[in-house]
Amino acid sequence: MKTKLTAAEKWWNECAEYEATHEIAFASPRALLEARMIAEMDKARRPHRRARRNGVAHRRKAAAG
Amino acid sequence: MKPIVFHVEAAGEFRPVELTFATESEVRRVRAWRKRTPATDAGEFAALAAKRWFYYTREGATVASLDELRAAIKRNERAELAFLVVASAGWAKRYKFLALAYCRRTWCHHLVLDFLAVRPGVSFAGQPIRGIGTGILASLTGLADSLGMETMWGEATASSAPFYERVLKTKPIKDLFVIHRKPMQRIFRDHLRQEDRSLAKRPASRQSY
Repeated sequence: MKTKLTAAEKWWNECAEYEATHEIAFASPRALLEARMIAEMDKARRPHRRARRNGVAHRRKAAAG
Repeated sequence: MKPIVFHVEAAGEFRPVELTFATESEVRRVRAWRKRTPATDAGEFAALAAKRWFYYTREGATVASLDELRAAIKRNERAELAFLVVASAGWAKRYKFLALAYCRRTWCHHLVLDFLAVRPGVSFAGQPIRGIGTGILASLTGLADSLGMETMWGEATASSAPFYERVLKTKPIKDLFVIHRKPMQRIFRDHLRQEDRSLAKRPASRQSY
């Protein structure tokens, strides 16, 4: 016999149904903006290592003299 | 430190999920979501939430456990603190983490939800796992209540508002949701009631993990 769902069960089922059909990935717009700025700052601070890869010699400035 | 436990429905049974404060190594794992689930909002938000966590950690403004949070508040009752909670389950071995939430404790002792993300496509025995986001949000209301917080709030968007409306039982939610103590307690209590009833209906599920 099927038992009647309580209000709490109905509520949970409705939430779970929604989750099943929608991606749950939410960010506060302000938090997102701040996180993106932090990521950009990090990128700018990181040393540019790519040029030294693959055995490419690092170019030096000619010494004055 | 005991984790917060809530239940989700996986393959027709209610199974426990543990919600814990993330430490540095766990935040690194979360950051790697972007590589595993590229081109998803969850992957991008996980990476950005991790970046933000590392940035605030360098400033000494994050905590990695509930005890740390309580101690930091005791030291400075106006402290602004951030933390990341991660959801994991021993029975879902394919995934280290099922979901995450990035929260802040504000200077006036309110809880702010900044990021909430469930790893896309999480499944168990070929079926989707249901109720992870709801479980996290309900657990956060319980956490806020246990910390004596009067308010939990967050910014909502066009895509998140319908979810928050359902879980937080507040309509309509526009670009901001604010939940006070009484509704917080009601949401947490209803979530516990639902879990108790569902577990009682399926006695086998208690032993199945």
